Amino acid sequence: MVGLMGLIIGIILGVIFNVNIPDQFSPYMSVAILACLDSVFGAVRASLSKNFQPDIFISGFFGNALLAAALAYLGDKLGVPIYLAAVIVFGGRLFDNFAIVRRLLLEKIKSRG
Amino acid sequence: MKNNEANIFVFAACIIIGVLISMNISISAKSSYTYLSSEQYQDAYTYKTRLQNEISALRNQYYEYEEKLNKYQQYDQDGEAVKDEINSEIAENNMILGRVAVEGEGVVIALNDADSSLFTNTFEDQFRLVHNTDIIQVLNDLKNGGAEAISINGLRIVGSSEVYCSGPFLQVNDVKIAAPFTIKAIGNRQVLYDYMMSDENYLKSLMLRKLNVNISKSETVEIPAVNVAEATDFIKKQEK
Repeated sequence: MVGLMGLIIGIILGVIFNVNIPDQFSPYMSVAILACLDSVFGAVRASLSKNFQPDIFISGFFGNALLAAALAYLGDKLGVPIYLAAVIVFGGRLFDNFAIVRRLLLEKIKSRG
Repeated sequence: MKNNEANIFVFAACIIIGVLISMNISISAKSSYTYLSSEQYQDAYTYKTRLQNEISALRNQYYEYEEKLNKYQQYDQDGEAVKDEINSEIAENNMILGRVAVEGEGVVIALNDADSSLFTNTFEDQFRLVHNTDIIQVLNDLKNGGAEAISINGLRIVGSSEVYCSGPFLQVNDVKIAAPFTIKAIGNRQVLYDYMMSDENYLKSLMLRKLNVNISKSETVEIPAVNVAEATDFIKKQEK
């Protein structure tokens, strides 16, 4: 819920200020966004299972995004689509995390009811 | 407490993600791609270059005018300076219009009919003579090559100049002239020379016709003022 609200506020902020990044960075940005999303899902899961650590979250949030963008850039230069590695790993983890979050939430609701 | 902390971090992270996403979305919405064939690309590229050239030319002109305006404003009280400026402008315009004699580096082209030994009393003799059309072509080439002032046998070529066939003579600026013809042109002498001597230039075909053609670069070419006055009986400034 908190995440969704943040997302909406962020999008509104972005539209209002109309910040633009150069065209050639846009593909790297997409991969970075995926990495950030993965970190957020990880954080939600960790907070639900009560072992959230802010330092791990922050380092993962920025580190993953930078690494993903750097990989995409490197792949562009080498002519090998390395960004696929980032997409597959982060995409897979996204679904894994979501599955766990789902289970934890459902259990919570069940135990309450 | 721990849960709350996590919520704050997730909230902040989600705002960042939202901003990033909106940045990317606005970009993908703005740029639409069209695929060009190599010919279209080439055309677009030359169009772009032409526009850039025009822009830089206009910018130069703008600076020039701005400088002039500044000068006028600076010496507003002193009418003398403005008068000087106007006079120098008039002098420059007179130079361009051909009202005053000018000099500068350029090329000199000498054109004459072929040697008499080459005349055979056949139709081919026509090709051994310098015609008015030949002169017109050469003048055109010179103008295209960047000549700033042109004269033929001492007659300045201006906008109203005619090159007319008049029997064995040519009529230029109401004056009849005879061969040999000496065409002088002021401009970058190396550029003019190279342009006139290039294979696709009309001068080469005159050489193939065995006419006497001689072109030389010169450090100072002197070109006199135009000998006829232009009439202004009918032209009027257009009212906008």
